[in-house]
Amino acid sequence: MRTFLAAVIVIAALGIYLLATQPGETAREDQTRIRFAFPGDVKAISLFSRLANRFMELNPDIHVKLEPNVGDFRQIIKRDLVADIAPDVFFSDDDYFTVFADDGHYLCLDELIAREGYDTAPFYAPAAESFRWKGKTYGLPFGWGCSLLLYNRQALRDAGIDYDPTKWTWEQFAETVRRCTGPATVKGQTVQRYGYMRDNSSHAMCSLWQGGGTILQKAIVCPQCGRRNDVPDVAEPDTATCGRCGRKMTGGEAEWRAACDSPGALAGIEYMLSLLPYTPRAVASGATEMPANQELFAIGRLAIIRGGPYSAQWAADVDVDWGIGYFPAGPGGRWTRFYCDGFVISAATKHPDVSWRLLKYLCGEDAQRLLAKEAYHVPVRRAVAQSPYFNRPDTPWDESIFAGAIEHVRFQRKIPEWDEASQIVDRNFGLLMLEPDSPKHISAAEYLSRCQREIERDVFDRE
Amino acid sequence: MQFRWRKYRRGRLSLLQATLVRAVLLIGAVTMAVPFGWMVCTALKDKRTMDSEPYRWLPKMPSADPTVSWSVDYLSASTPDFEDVVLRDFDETAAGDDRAARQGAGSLSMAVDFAADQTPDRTIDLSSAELPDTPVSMLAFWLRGDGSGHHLRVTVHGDGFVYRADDLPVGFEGWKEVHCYFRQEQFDPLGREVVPLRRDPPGDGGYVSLRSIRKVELTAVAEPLWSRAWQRWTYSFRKAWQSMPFGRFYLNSLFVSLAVTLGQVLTSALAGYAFARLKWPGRDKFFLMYLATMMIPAAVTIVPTFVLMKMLGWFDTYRALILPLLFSAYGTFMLRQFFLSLPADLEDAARIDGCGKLRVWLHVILPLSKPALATLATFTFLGCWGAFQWPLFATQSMHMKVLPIGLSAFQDKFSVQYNLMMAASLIVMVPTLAVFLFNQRFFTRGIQLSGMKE
Repeated sequence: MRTFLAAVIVIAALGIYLLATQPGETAREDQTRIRFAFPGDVKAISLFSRLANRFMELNPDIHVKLEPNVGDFRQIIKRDLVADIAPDVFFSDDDYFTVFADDGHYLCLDELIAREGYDTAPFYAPAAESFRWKGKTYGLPFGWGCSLLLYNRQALRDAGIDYDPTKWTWEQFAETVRRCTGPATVKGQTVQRYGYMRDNSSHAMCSLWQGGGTILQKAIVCPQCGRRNDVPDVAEPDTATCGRCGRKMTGGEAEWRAACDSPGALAGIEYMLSLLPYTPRAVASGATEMPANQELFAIGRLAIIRGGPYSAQWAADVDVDWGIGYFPAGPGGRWTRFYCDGFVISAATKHPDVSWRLLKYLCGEDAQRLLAKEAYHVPVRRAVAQSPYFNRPDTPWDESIFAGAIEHVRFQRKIPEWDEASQIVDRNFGLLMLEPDSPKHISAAEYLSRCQREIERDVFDRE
Repeated sequence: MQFRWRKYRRGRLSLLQATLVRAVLLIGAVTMAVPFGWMVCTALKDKRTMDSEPYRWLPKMPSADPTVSWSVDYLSASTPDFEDVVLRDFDETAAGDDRAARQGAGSLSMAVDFAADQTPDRTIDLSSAELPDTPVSMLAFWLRGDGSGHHLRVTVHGDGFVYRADDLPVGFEGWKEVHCYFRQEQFDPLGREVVPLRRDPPGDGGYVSLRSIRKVELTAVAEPLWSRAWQRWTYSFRKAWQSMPFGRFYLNSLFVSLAVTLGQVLTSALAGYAFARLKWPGRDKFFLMYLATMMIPAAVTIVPTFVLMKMLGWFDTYRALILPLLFSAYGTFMLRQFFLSLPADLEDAARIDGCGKLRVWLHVILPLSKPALATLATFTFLGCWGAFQWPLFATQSMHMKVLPIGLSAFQDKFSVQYNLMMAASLIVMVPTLAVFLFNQRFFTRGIQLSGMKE
C-alpha cells in the first residue's frame, strides 16, 4: 500500500509539474493562431523554430504553433488530412506534392499571388515549377538539392587525373574511376581504394538521362487536329503549341506514358553497369548504405562519392581534402536529379491570409538567408544562392558549385502515379544489380523492357 | 549455468560437456556484450577519433602539454533577420581564388603557454570600427581547435554592459564555427559550438545594438587534465542533451510510463481477480473472448483508437498517451493465472472474518501477489518506456513528445554522427537498464507465469 501511495504521489507531482510548465501554446486574444508542421529532425527543428520566432516578432498579431513531426512526414500529413486536423501551413516535398494537390488538399495560391502581385521570378524555375500542378500554383519552394559528386583530391592526384570534375565526360569519368581503383597508400598504410560507389535506382535514372533516355514522357493531344504532341514535363495545354497545326492546345488533354526502353536509356544503364567493377561490392546501392560509403570516403578508401549540397556538413568533419564535382556528361547531356522542398497551405485552413503571410516569410529573403547559412539545401531564391550567405567566404569549399548545378538538373514531374512507377523501376533494378550468374539476374535491355511493360500495364492500365 | 555445473558435480555431465556448455554461454554473452561495449565507447568519443584508423576502442586522453595553439578567424555578427555583418576578417591577405588557403592564412593566433605565464587574452577591439547601429542577435567566429580541451572564455564589452559566457571546452581539432547568442536559442543547431551569453547587469533579453559593442575578449583558460578528460568523454552526451529538449521528453516518458504502469497493474489486478475468483455467468467464455483480443495486432486498432481520441478531444494530450494503454489482456491473463494458484482457504478465512470481496482483494490477494504485480509492473514499464508508434500517433506538439520520438528526431538523416546517436541512445536506455537489472528476477518469473513475453 505504501508503494502504491508513493507511486500515486510521484505521478501526481509529475503530472502537475508537466501541466504547469507546458509552453504557452495558446494565442492571446488579439492573436490569430495558426499551426505549422514540418519534418522534425534536429536540424529542421532548430531552423524552423528560429524562423517562426522571428516571424512572430515581426507579426505580433499572429501566433505560430510549431508541430515538428517525427517519422514518415507524408504518412503523418495523410493522417492529418484524413482526420481533418491538417495544420494551416505545412511542409511538402516534390515526391508527393502532386498526390495531395490532385486530391484537392492544398489551397490554390494563384488568387493570392495575383492579388498581391507576388513575384515568383526570383525563384529558380524548376523549384517554382515543383509546386505547380495542372497549371496552378499550390505551394512555394523553400530549398532545392541535386545529386553531385564529392571527390578526394589526393586520390585523383595519385591516379594522375587532371580532368576538371565539373566538366568531365562519360569516358573521362570512367577512366578516373578505373585508375583510382586499386591499392593505395593512405596515412602510411596500403589499402584497397575504390573509384566510385554503386548507384541506386534513382541515381541510375541520371545515367539513363545522360544516355539520352527518359522514364516517363508527357504528351498533349491537340483538341484542334488530334495530334499527340510530346512535350517537356513543364508544358501545359494553355501554353504549348501543336506541332502539326501550330495552334495553342488550350483544352487539350495531357497524358503520360512510359518511355524507358529507348536506345539512349539502354546506353545510360550499360554505362552505369560498366562502372560496377570499380565500386565496393560489399556495400550495396541503397540509400541506407550511404553511411558505409561515407565512412569509406572519410578514411580515403573511396575516391568519389555521390552526395548533395547537404554533404558539405558531414564532409567538413572528415580528414580528407575534397572537392565538388558534377556527374559526367553523356551523349544526352550532363543530367542530374533535382529535388525540392517547399510549403503549402491546407485547403481547409480557416486563416488563408495569415497562412499566406507565414508562407511568404518562410520562402522570403530573410528565411532564405538562414537556410543558406545552415547549408540545409540550396536556397530557391537565386539572389540568396549566389550571395555570400550561401557561397560563404569563410568555408574552405566552394558552395557556388552546388548552386551552379542548376544548369544540369533534370526536372522530372512527380505525377501522382510516380510512386507506383518508381516502385516498378526499383524492383527491377534489384534484379539488374544481382550477380550475372544469379538465375534471377536480368540484362540492361531486359530491365528497361520490363520497366516499360510493367509501368504501361500496372500504372497506366495499358496493355 | 549453476544448475548444469551442479549436474557435472553430481556426475551427470562429463567435464567436456560442462566446459562446452560454459564456452557456448560465454560466446553468447560476449556476442551480446560487444555491440553494447561499442555503443558505450562510441558515445565517449568524438567524430575524429571515430574515423581514425586503425580503429580505437577507447577515446584518447588529452595531452598533458600546458599549451594551446588556437586560431580565430572571421568574426561576424548576425542581425535578427539573419543578415551578417563582418567585424573582422583576419584572412584579408589571403583573399583570392585559393579558397582552401583562406582559413588560417591570416587568422588571429592564440598560442598560449600556461606554464610560462603568458597573457592568455586576445582582444578584438571594435571601438574604432564604423559599425552600423543595427540590432544583432549573435556573434559568430571560426575557431581552429587543437583538441587540448582547455577552455575558451568569450566576453563581450559594450557601452555600460558586459556579456559573459560559460567557458567553451576546445576539445575539437580543426576549424569549427562558434555561435555566441545574446538571446537564448531554444534549440542548439548541430555542427556548431554554441555559447549562450549572459548580460551583466541583466537586461530585458532583447537584441544588442552593434554600435554599442566595444570589444570582444577571448581568453584561454587552463583546465586540469582530469577535467579536460571528463569534458572530452562527456562531450557527446552534453551535445545531444542540448540539441533537443530531452529533459522534457524524459519527464514525459517517466510520467506516462509510471501512470500507465500503475493504472495497468490496478486494472489487471481487478480484472484478473474477477476472472479467477468471482463466480458469474459466462465468466470463462468472456475471459476467452478477452484473451482473444491479444491476437489482434496493435497496428489494426491504432487508427480506430486515434479517431476515438480525436472525437473525445484528447488528441495531443496526456490523456491520449495514458488512457488507451491502461487496460491489458496480457496483464489480466498473467494475474489471473497467479491468483488461481493462491490457496482459496485464505480467502475463505477472510470472508469468515467479515471481509467483503473488495477487502479480500485488497488485503489478502494483493499482498500475496507482490511478485506477480512486480513482474507485470516491470513488463509494463519497459514496454511503455520504449513505445514509439502510439505516442507518435497521439501527439503533435513538441512538448508532448516522449523519449523514443525525441531519439528518432535526433537521427539526422544527413549526418553520420554515431557518437551523438549512441550518446542519445544511452541516455534513453539508462532507466530501462536500471529497471531490468533491479527487477531481473521478476522478468524471468513473468515468463514462467504466463509462458510468454509481452
